[in-house]
This record gives sequence, structure tokens and C-alpha cells, in this order.
Amino acid sequence: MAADGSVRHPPRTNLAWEEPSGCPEDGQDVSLYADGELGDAERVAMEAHLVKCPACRQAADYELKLRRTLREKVRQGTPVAPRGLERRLHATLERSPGPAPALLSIRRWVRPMPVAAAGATALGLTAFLYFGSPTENIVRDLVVRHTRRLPLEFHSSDPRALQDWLAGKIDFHVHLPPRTGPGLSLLGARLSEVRDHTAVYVVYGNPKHPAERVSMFVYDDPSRRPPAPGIPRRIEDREVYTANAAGYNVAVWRDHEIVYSLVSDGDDNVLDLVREVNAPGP
Amino acid sequence: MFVGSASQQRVREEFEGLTLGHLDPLYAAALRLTKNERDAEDLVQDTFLRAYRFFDKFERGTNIKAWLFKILTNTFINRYRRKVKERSVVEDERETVHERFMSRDVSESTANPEQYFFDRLLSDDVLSAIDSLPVDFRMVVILADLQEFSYKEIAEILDCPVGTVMSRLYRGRKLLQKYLLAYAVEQGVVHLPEDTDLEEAAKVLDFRRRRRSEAAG
Repeated sequence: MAADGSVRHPPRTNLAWEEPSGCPEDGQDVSLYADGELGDAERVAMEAHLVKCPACRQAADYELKLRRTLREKVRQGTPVAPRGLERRLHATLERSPGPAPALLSIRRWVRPMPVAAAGATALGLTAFLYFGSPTENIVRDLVVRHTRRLPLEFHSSDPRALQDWLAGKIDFHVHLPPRTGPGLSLLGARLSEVRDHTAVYVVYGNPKHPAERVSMFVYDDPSRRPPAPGIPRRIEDREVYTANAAGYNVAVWRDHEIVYSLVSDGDDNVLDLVREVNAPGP
Repeated sequence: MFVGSASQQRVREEFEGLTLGHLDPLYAAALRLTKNERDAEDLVQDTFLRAYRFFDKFERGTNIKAWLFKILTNTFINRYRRKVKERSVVEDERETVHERFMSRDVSESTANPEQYFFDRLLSDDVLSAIDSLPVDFRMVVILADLQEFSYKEIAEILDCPVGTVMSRLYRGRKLLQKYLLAYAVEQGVVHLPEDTDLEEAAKVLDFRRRRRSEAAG
């Protein structure tokens, strides 16, 4: 630390091939932040630090860009599984005698594998995430994504700025509510994936409680299948599927080919946000 | 054809319901591990068959995607890795090469050099760079950067300590960036500054050419 109390950072070169330096002020590594490996308290502290520290912000931006570029370029260049593979798998499984309990055990998996353990632990959950039906997989996936708390790639409280950032990154339109009502504000977004669909992951936060968040995932699914299990309820002219899983409120609905989903930490505000997203325009 | 009882059919339907939704990410990972479509398809088939066989060991409600990836990586290590005779983690991979380089398009690169570089990367180059990683590094990069598994999940999948995951990820990403830089230099997107250790840079480019010629041959 410098004599005047400010933090000194090593000068950054044109492209940051060297390991981004851990910040001497916080003693934290931005790569852990970019990997979503910080606990809630550390993440909130890091995000507060990034606001005031240009060098760490640049390092974090670089780390996030690297990861996003890898995901995007690999996705662009990777074919989906061959069309006949699922059919062949089905036929092979049909011929297979199936589970043979006495033959072998994969011991590690007898123990429950902690799903999104870090996020769940940080939130003080004692129960395991349990989703009994295969069709509830989507709910489970959304909760796992929500609890990972992966860092945002774009920070803004302005929906129009977020739309500008999304332009050219995705090939579908995301409707963002112009307002979110009291208690919630737009924090930003990142690109992620849900069930192997490229998804826009929008995060809303409660300014009074920085650890509380609502995640909105939006992806293009032309299949037109019901986006989630259960019986939908009608909200603002949409069929909205709701679930409460492991303490999280989940709402999923379809707007033609686009699937929207919201996951909140358990407050009732998720349905308010559903109404805001689907409210008729001015 | 094995028909089985009604209860076996229910088990199979449950298995398919839980697993088939993960077919595309498993196939994508298999493709990066085996580097060819036929072996990737075989690896995925073997993974599903093993998973089905041991389905009674799967703890319902836990992370089936991670469980499937564990079976996929184990199957790959046990069978396909011997076949492709890959190098394992190479301890003497040089890590200090070209710490700096500059773009030819000074105005754009100065404004945002990293974005300039990332935007110009081609999918094929990124895939080729990942494929060029030693397999132990490649597995953690696939699991962390492409599938977004947490360190803890990757440690469970690969059956190794979290510290090992972090170390391999760090080294894998460093190596990956070296390869990507080599492509960028070769394509004229960037050039190395005058004080760059050209001998080291040349090694990276030689490595790249060797990989290409191996792939072609």
C-alpha cells in the first residue's frame, strides 16, 4: 500500500497475458470472483471494491471476457449431438437389462453430491435440494444457476443500456420491464446457459439487502413445449408455472418461442416481477 | 430384444427423463476429449450405458449432470485415453512466453485491446487451442469454462482435491491463452513487441504447426 494509503497496482500491459494480480487491498483474486467461487459476503465486498478500483475492474473484465469468449466460440463451433444418437441410445437402453445393484458400486455417489453447495450453504439451507420428478429438472437447473451467483458481465440499472449490451450477442429479443417496483432494482446481466440453450441471465437486487437477489433467465426454445411441469396460473395473460424448491420461488412462462424464468431467494416479490415483465406497454 | 418388466420400464423411463436432456453438453465435451465424432459418439453411448447400469447408485435429487460427467470422464480416462496415447500433464510446460504484444490496428486496439483480440478469435481456433491442451488441463477447462461447474463439483467429478482443480485450471488457461496468441500472431491480428523473447514465441508457433500437421496427417 502506498504512503498516502492508496492501493498500488502493477501496470497492466496491452493484453493481460500475465496472471491478473490479486488486489493487495482485499487480498482476493479476481479469477475466483470470475469463477463464481466467492461466498456471498466476499462477493459483495469484491463488487464494492471493483466499483472504486479501476485496475481490479479491468482485471475482472478481462477474466470474464476470456470465459465468455471461450463459451461463445466453442458453442458456435460445436455441433449438437447427431440426430440419430438419442434414438440409438433409446434402443440400446431398451436392450440393456438395466441397473445391476450387486455388481459394482460407485461409492462416491452414494453420498449425496451437494448441488450448488456453496450457494446453499451460504444461505443457511439445511435441506438438500430435492426434485423427485424428471420433469422438474428445469426447476432444479434454474435454482442451481441462481445459487452459483456467477458474476455479472455487464452492470447497469438501466434496461435500455442492457438492451444495447445484448445487441449482437443473442439472436432473440428479451423484454425487460422498464420498472421493477419498490424493493428491487436491476443490477446487470451476463450470458449463461440453461439446459444447453444460450440464456440471458439478468439479476435484480434489493439495495437494502445486497445478498438477496432475483435471477431472470431468458432463452430461445422453439420446441413450444410447456416450459416447466405443473399446472400454470394465469398472470398478465401468460401461463405461469410456479414452484417452490429448496426455499426458492421459481416462476417459468413462455412468450411464444422465448422462455422466461425467475428465481428468487424466497420472498413474494417474484410474482410482482412476473407482472412487471408481462405488463402491457405504454 | 430385452423387454423387461413393467417396473424395469419405469426405471428406464425415469433414467431417460433425467439424463437425455444432458445429451448435447455430454456430446460436446466428448468431442473435445476424443477429438473426433465417431469416438465422441461411442464415448457418449458407453457413458449412458454405464450410467444406466449403475442408476440404482445415483442418489435421487442430487446433481445428475455432474454424475454423468463423472462417468464420462472416467470412461474416457479408462478406455479412450489409452487409445489416443495422449500426453498427460506436462510438468515442464513453459509458462513465460510473450507477456506483451500489440495490435496492428493501433487505434482500435488501444481503445480496447482485449475486446479487439477476443472479437477476432475464430471458433475453429478456440476449439483447436482447447484440443491442444494436455488432457488433464483440457478436462478442467471443459468442466469449468464450458460447462460452468464449480471447483467443488469438478473435484468430485475428477476425484481430486479442489486445490488440484484450481492449479490445473490456472495452468490450462495460461496455456490456452498462449495458443490463442500464437494463432493471432500467425493471422496477423497482433504482432509481438520488439523486446519479446522471439525464441519462446517461435516455440509456441512451432507447437501450433506441429499440432496442425498431426491433425491433418
